[in-house]
Amino acid sequence: MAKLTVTIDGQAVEVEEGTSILKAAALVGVRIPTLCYLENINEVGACRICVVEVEGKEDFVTACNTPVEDGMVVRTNTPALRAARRTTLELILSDHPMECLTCVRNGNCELQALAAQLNVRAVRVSGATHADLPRDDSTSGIVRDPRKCIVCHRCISVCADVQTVGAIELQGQGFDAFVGPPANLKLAETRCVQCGQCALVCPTAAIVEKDDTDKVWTALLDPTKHVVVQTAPATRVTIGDMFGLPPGTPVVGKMVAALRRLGFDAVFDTDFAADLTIMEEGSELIERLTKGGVLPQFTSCSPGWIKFIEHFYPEFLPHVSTCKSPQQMFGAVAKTYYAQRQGIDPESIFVVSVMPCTAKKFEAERPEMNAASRYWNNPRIARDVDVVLTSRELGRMLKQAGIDFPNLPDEEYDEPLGLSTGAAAIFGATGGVMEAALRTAYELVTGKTLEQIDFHAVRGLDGIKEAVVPMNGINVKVMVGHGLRNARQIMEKLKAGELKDYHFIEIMCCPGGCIGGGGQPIPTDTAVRQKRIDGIYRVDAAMPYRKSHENPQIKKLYEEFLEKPLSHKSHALLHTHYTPRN
Amino acid sequence: MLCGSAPWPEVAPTTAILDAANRAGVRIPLKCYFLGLDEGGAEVVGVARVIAPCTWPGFADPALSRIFSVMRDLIGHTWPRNICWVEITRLLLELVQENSCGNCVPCRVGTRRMLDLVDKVLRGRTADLLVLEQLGKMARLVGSSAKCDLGRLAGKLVAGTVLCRREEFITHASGSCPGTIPVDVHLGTILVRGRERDGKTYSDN
Repeated sequence: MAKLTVTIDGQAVEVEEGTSILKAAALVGVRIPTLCYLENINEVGACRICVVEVEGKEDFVTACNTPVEDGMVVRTNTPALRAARRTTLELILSDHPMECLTCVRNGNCELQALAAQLNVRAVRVSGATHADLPRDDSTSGIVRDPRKCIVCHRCISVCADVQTVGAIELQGQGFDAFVGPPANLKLAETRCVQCGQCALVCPTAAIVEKDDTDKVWTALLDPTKHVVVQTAPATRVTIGDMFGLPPGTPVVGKMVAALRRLGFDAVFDTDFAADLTIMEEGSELIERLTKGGVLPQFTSCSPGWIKFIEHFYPEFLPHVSTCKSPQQMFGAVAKTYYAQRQGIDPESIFVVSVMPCTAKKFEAERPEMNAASRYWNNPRIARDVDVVLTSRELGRMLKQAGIDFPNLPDEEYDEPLGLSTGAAAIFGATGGVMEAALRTAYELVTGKTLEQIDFHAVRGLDGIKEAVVPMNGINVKVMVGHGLRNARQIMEKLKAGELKDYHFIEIMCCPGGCIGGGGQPIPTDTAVRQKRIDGIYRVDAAMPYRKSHENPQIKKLYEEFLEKPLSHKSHALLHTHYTPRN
Repeated sequence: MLCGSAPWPEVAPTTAILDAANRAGVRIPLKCYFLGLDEGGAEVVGVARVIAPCTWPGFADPALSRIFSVMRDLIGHTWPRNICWVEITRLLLELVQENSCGNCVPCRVGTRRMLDLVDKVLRGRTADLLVLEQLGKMARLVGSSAKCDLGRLAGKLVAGTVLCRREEFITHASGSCPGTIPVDVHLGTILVRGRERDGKTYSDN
């Protein structure tokens, strides 16, 4: 590619053709302020904060989406630019509720940070506002507060381009333009899958997770309740972000210690249920392979993906594994096996999940997720999982409780639902469920020990990954996709009949898998995702057990309670059905 | 009665209310009304007649003439014949707001705030020149920063208008409309002249 030379604030720099002014400036140590910009996702020049002067041009140009030209002379810090950026920001602020002190994004708001960076000390413009736009809390997972929306378009771009859902768009004209579902629909009435990627990229608090922390505080205070908590695989490398630890730092021991200090009666691990998922889902796959079931089989751990296929490709639901997600398996096991084993009244057990995910809130509220109630034939047991907290909500609770997270000692999960393997930990990264399934399926099918248990072909941030694993004469063909754009591509291939010789396909709704989930600490960008993935595989490598079927507690669970994978009891508690939503 | 403390003026039976008020030394804040438009009511037409005689020499000014022609193009057939520059500015900004896609901040919010400022001028209750300064500043920002030609053009036009017809805005701000574009000017002629001068000045970027 051709090299171009540009001069930025007097410094010459050579860059490749197509490089934006913003990136060229970064090379010479000039950080042009941005607001709506989101690398590779939202480079639309909507906010006009990144304006610069280019010699020979009458007007300002936006640095984020203007490619450099050879010989271009750019100035980024003139009085006119400083004034323009400030006035533009004041325009935004003139229609923004100044509720910073009581805002959930207080201290982690890009608008707030920019106002500080641009030294805005007063908002000199005023006029009509959108203070009367109604809040939309119609969904289980996500709350929209359009008053705080600055129309940066990030959520629109993520929803339409990264997730190909397109639930929210720009509505209206001129000053009355706002971001929301079309035709004044509530978000719950759209095909929104509640993945929360919009909340993850929102620079303000216009889209946030639904806050359920009060329900947990109340339960923790209730002496009649036995409150247990489960922590999702991905949370063990992300909670530290909220306390200033470097992204990807494994903090599982500290998280356990922190949850115990919050007052939970037992601290358990969703990873235990992830091992259980592998047993069930792997067995299901083997059954489909040997008995001529519908193939390829798709994973079912990701509730955003499940809602996506229910909305957009319901005709392919028979391809989806009937296994519940680890979260729901855990809930069902906690209120049956655990209750029975410990002699606790299942009615009094209150299950809290800590999830990287807003869609998990929706999943827990699905009407069919009441296996324990059906098992005990007791309608007073409402849900298998009572409350789902996102990583962000847990972080807030820990801060509120004054827990000095970075300096906590490492503690161990409680028995019996706390023991897990490395195979379960990697559920948190794209390709992880596949790798965990392969580790177990290979040994179950061949009866041989798997020597090389790291399946590098399915790891990493490539959108779609593939591998072929020989097992007893069958070349098992697998595919891994993450982010719903890739999921859609895979579904279109399936539709076109191109995936007939594939056996198992893993889909994760969010880019990078759960470590990039919509409930994770902000910021979550590609670099952060990569660091968290690295952290997850470090956790895996350090585990004493790395294959789900070797988990002694899982063996015990089958011996004492479930009998065997795909048993009658397993089907009643651990498997589910889906709802076409077209 | 015009004003509690003012003496009753001696006027002929056909005198317009505004004339009477002026004679009594009472300045009625005026909005511009368009001659020939049916706004229902003699007073309205009367006011328009009062302000119709225009002493405006602006057509000799090429910049203003250009602005006029571009605005005439933009506003098109809805252009009233007898109208002052503050009203033209308002019409333009209304048009921009109606057509703005809402994507960029300067156009979506900026032109709306400009509209609010022009309304302040038109209400005639502010002698504060800050409003005018704010309007000019905002217009220059929108003119140089908006994402597309719609906002940029509007910003530049309003910035130019505020600069060239400053007195008209000031008098308006303090309570009355000093003049309008003459009734008899042939708009078609201006349009053609404007286009010749205009070239591609406003359509790049």
